[in-house]
Amino acid sequence: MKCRKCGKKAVINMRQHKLALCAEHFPLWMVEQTQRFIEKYRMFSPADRVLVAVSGGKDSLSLWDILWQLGYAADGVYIALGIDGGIGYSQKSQESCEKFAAQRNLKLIVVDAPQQIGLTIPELAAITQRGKNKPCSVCGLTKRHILDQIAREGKYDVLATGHNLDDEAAVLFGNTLNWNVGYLYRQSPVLPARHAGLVRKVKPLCRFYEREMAAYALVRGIEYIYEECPHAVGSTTIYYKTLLNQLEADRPGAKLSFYLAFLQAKEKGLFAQPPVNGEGEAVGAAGEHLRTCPGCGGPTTVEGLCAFCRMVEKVKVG
Amino acid sequence: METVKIVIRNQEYEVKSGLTLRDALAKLGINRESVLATREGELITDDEILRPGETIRLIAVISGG
Repeated sequence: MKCRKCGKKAVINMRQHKLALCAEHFPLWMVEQTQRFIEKYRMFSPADRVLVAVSGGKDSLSLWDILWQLGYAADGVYIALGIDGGIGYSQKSQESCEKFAAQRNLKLIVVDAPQQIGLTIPELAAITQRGKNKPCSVCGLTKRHILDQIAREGKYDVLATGHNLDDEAAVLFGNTLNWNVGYLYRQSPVLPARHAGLVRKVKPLCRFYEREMAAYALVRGIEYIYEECPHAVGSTTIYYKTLLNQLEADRPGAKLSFYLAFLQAKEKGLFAQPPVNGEGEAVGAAGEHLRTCPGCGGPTTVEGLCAFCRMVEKVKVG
Repeated sequence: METVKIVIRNQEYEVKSGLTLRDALAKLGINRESVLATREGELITDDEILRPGETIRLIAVISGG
């Protein structure tokens, strides 16, 4: 197969676009497309300070690489979670991020969650109701809390994450299967700051297939952590992604049109905001009012401490 | 040697040479949307004909918790 731009040997064929590109033109195309999505969804401007949440995986490091090439002022933040899983998962991830940042002379903020909380994520999950079955919920809550905190304290304009189209389509699929209307209403390439303790969140890779992100990392020589998080094995997200890829194999473009048609439907107003008890107040995903946590200054849907501060408080008391 | 080795994570498969990568993946029941393929470290597209004695390394692309 030949590159559409120059006729050299192609390294990837993107069947949903009927586009094959070579090792030279594929990364250039990815960078151009990312800039197009940043503008199309009005994510941020060159004047904004961007914080990129990096995990050491292919998506987040590739995002950081693309933003760096585009000349954005983008710092990275890595959260050490204390996950070992017999493969030194967190340590390897951190090393990938540090190496990446050092090679490009970029600023990486490293947050040691076990040092802050006193426990690793698996330890915290084992003793909390939220983490009873799996640490993923505790992990997600902790990461969201810390990312918001770092972005707020560092006065960043925007927090960028490496969510790709497969991530977005899997979430959309799950929320559609369960008719989680509140979450459907909120799912978007841009999540506005709904509270003074939150920053705007953006997903510049939301229209790239996961396969393209892995190819980009490979072509660019980005050394990402290939091993999956030991706790993600058998996750619902991976199951949905596998199902969607079966559909994609038979009908190229199925994942892309599923996601894009959803965004178009939202633009046309086919998804209504969940009802709220008042006007002009900040609301959560399910339409609840957002209050301010007295512990951390972050948002919470209940009176008093937010879910993260409650969880940490309980552990301290227990 | 008539066969081609296909490696993904810790698993190894053998298929006949002369097939396209696309056909080889279909025979092995591996979804081509879920992997990338490399020959000597270089990415290849799935219309490539597999050569006798070579090793194709597949990279699983799905991740997420």
